[in-house]
Amino acid sequence: MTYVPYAYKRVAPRRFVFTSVGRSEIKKVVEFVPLQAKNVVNLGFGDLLPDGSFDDEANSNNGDMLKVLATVVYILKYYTSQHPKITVFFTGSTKERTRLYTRIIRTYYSLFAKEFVLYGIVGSDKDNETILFDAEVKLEYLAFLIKRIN
Amino acid sequence: MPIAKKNTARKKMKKRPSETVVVVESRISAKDTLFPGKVAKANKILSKTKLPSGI
Repeated sequence: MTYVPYAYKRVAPRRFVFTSVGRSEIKKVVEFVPLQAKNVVNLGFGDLLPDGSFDDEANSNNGDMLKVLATVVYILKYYTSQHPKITVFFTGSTKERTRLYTRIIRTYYSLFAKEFVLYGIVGSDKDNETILFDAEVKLEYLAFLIKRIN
Repeated sequence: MPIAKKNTARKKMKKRPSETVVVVESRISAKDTLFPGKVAKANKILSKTKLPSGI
């Protein structure tokens, strides 16, 4: 992504924060949490709300979505450089959000593919399949897996 | 002082065995998360997914 990211801060071994500055200032949190599968972590991302809770379904509409996502990608790059053996799982909080992420990945795939191998998870509730992401093929993905090319 | 009284006095002065206090610190689990719903969703999807080799 060619967007200049926001400055971010590591506040815990697996947690980062930054502030989105658009129509208003919104504190964002990015978190990597180990999943049941070995060496796979979930990328969680959401807004810090005024009452201190977090919301990963917020549609903040702050006018800086690509800059926010660029910052998440920079954090992802940093974290995976520190932990090159991990695979990062991520999905949108809704189907629409996952579709949005798919469109963005498709747009920036050529840049992304220089550093990462990207898999898409497709399927139904019963049985899923993991396939190498192909920017030319339009599929409905459930989630993505990203691994740094060592 | 009679010997019996001395012994009683010594017994009284004997230190009681000290008590050991164990402080258990609470620890945040590695799996603690701000987004438990997302983590549960991720585990559910992965449980039905065969991961490619190399992961």
